[in-house]
Amino acid sequence: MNENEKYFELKNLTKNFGGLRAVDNLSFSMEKNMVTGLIGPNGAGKTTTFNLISGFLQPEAGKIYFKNRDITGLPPHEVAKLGIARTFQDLRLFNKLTTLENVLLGMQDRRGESLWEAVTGGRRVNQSVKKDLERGMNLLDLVGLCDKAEELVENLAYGEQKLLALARLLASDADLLMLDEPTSGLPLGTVDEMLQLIRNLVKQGKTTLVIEHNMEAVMGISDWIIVLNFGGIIASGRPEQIQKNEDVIKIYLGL
Amino acid sequence: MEYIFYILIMVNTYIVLAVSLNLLLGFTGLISIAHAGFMAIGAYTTTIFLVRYGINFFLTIPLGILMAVAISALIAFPSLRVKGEHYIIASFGFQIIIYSILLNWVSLTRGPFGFAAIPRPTIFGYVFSTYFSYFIMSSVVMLACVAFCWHLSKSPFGLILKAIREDEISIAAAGKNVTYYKVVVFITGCAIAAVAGSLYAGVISFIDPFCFTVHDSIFILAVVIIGGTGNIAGSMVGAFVLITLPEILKFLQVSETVAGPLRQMIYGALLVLFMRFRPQGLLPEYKKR
Amino acid sequence: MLFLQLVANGIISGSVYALLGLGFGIIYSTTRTFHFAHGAVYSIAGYFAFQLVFWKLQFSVSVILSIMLAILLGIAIEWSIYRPLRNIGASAMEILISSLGLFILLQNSIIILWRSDPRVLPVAEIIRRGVSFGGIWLTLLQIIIVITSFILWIGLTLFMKHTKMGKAIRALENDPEMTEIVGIDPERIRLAVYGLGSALAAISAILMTIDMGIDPNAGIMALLIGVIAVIVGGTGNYTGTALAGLLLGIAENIGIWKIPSEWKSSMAFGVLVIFIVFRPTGILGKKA
Repeated sequence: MNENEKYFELKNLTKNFGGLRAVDNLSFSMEKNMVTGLIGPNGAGKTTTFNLISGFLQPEAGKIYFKNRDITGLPPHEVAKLGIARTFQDLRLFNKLTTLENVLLGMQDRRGESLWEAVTGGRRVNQSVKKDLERGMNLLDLVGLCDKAEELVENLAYGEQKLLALARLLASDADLLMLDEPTSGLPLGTVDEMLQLIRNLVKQGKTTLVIEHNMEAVMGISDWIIVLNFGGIIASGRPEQIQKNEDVIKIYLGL
Repeated sequence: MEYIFYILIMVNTYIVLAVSLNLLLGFTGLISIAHAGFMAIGAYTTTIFLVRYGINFFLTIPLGILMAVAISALIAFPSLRVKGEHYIIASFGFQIIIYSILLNWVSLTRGPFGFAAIPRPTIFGYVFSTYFSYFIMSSVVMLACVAFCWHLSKSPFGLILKAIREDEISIAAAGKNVTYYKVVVFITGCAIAAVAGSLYAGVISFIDPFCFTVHDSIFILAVVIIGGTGNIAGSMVGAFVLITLPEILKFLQVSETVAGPLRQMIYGALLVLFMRFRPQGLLPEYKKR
Repeated sequence: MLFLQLVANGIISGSVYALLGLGFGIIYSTTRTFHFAHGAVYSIAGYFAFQLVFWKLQFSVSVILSIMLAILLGIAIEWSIYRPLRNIGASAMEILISSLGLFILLQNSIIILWRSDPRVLPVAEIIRRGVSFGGIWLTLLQIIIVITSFILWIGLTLFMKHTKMGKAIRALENDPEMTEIVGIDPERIRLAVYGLGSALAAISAILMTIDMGIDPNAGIMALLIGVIAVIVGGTGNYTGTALAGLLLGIAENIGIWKIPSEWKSSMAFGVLVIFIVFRPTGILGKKA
């Protein structure tokens, strides 16, 4: 990509909540196929940034560009359709539906989702649904949840739910994936599984932005780290550089 | 035993009402107590075209649907901005407004006097004069409505409705236009309620606004809840149980003035008990494992 | 002159509406439960007061007993129905529906016990006599109603501001998690709130039963007026709710002047729907 065509760019993004400035003149960009880690203490503005990008919040100022398109202020479902998908810190899975149904709901452009198609679609829709089910099972296989396909989500263990959230994200076939604390609350074995899956996303051509508190985890999988505090960037660079950065060390030890 | 067929016709009517409300309430999570209002729209449209203009009953059904679509489209958009318990109050408001219009627009609806001597449906010269024949006809209509709702519920469209019920924000983040689904399901549900209204007017031969009050809306809600939200077959069972059970009361020689309130007390109590002990209803959405 | 009379009448109805809003509002804003059954508590208090007086029990004793019954009923509903549902993780919709079922159950038991004719609570004839105040016709009863409502509103406001329980209630309203951390038992506060709200409902019911009588539809209308007052005035905004109730009474009475009475309830609902859709935080707009 040439200089004028960044894959993703945030420019001077600002968001206030009453008197509180949650995101302060934030600017950064991402290139395709990399994993960027977004770290910082609680309240630094990381999730707010996600909400701004995915359209759940409107910024006071600034712009967001994705594949050269201005997506600032677009509503969530349109941002999703353009190819950006996100997970939530509190998962927000569909608890009273099955695991497989949750994955299906992550898919974009399924046949039979409009009233007209659902009523008149007939065989074409049936065939398409079959394909969707197959694809859904493959995704569940990827995260190791095949045998839980018909289980209600509320009956899954927390670790399984987080893996499901990832599967649902992958179902969207979005090429920019935003993960909000994918490893928090997971048992050690599952953490490694999760990290491996995230790292594999690069091979599949995905670009990933990850919010994490687990330093070891995020340093291990990221190509680039951005450190936020008080809504602004304190530091950014490759993981090795960040680990030696004094300001960053101060924030994590000294507050 | 013509009376038994009359009861079954009522069961059919309420099945249509319940499956359509289930799409709104059970699947999408929209608690509407305006459903009797849309039943009234169908009933009155059918009656007015039948009695005043001599249009064939079966042709008035699509007219009733059109009326319901028009009116529900009007109120669908504003009610979208309303969340949770405010929705039920807004729907209460619409129910009262529809009822007031039926009561007060006397030149159109004959107000509190209503319409008497509504003729039975005819088709190619055959008159559905017996309860038995009406039962067969209404069963056909009922099955068509049930099949429609069932098919919709099992489709990808239906899956999104359930997701909206579970977590609107999450499904919006997944790229689905929640506004579209809420508006479309609302209009669809109200249109089918109008069909039930037409069926009702055709058999009961007399309608007035008092047939379609908020209490009737609440009854339809009770049928959906007790039958099982999110389960189309549950609505059929619920309608059957809640219509036929009170008939048994008649055998207990309860006086007329007490029977009405007693019936309501029973399903009020059932609602409380079910919410406490079996909130999924008689037929749950998913089978227990 | 007529206009002033209508405004005066409006203030009288409006003060009862304000009480209705306060009663429902304190429960709703503190517990976030849509207590449909509140309408039935209202009705039961009114009918019970009537019945006691009918059985020749002394007026003041009947009033006190009816208020106590309402308090007990409100507390019993929270304790035996809503709390267990919360404990098993019932959703807001499930709680609302059980409240609806409870309302139907209680409301119809009233119909069975007292039939459908309106009942009026008899009181000393003297207070029904009218007096002219510069062209406006008022009865002593109506003045009592306005004064009672005003005193209760002031009392409630002071209670919420200056007593320990009042502050605890406000704490629960604003920040349920903090309340528990600070060591206040939210369950106890909820019971108190249901008691308080039900007492206000009972007083409104008794005032109405004396003035205009009570009938089976009174409960649901009282509930709806309370809801309208809370939505228009702003959830958690007691001053706004009281004001909204007052305004509703005035608007309704002026409305009768110009709009045929059959459309009265649609008008009220029209206003309600407009507020719900466009300004759910109310006229004075506060927390949602």
